Amino acid sequence: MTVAQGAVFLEPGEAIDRIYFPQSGMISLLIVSREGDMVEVSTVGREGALGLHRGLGGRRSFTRATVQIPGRFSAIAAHAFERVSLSSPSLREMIARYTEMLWAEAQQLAACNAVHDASSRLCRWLLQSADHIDSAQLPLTQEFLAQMLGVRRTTVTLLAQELQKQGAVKYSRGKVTILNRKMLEDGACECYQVIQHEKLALKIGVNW
Amino acid sequence: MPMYYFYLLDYEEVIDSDGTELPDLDAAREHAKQVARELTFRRDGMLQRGWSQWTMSVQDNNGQVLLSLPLGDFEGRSTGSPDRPNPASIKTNS
Repeated sequence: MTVAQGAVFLEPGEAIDRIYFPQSGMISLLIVSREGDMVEVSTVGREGALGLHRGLGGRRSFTRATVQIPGRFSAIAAHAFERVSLSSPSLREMIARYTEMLWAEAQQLAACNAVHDASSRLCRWLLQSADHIDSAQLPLTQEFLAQMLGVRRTTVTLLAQELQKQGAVKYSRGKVTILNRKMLEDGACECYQVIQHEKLALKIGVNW
Repeated sequence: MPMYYFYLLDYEEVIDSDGTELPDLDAAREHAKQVARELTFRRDGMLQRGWSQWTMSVQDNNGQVLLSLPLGDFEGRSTGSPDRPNPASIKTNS
């Protein structure tokens, strides 16, 4: 199925009844404060799935899961997935590893949101999103980026202008194109490399 | 509500040409201060120049400058509670 930006798959506390597999596009896991402010704590792209830990038994969502970059998604009913998982130790092992990776990412992002400057986090965020959807063109509005980074839209616009002046990105309404990855990598905080490392380890199945 | 446009200036301009709709000049001043805090948080400058060289100016629809904030005033103010050491003052310029 094709899903539009902003669609909500899960709300906090909601029972997980389907597992979503992004084929393209990207899901963001958000904590929403009582005042309505949102902070991103993790992301799910082609490398993963939303609600995978439901394979271990009945589970509820900790976060709001919303589609951040539109795309194609597959879904499977939770009870069917759980049945398969119960008879497959290797699938359960994979679920555990993926859940650990999400945990590691969430911890890293918690620290990142507290201690790193907005420009480094913007660079990190653009790189991660590009990796998730395997494209240098990101359909993202600055309002959306501001929400993800927990800053004013004006701040994102001014930082994006700076990156554009340096030749790292090109911004047109509703779309960011990465022109120079290396510049973004240099501008990003170390969190990008740390999370990349975790994802790579998961993909090739190594402990480090 | 009127539109306000936020600019960063030294000898170059970094412009938010989309503008932001806000109730009045007081709200625009608060918005400018918040953006200044977010920009300077744990960061020494922009485009290889320190914050002391940058000014944020707020203009109206006709390009008239309504207020200017020297960003140097915000350095080190946005890094948390005053009883903790300020990381910006510890950090070397790397």
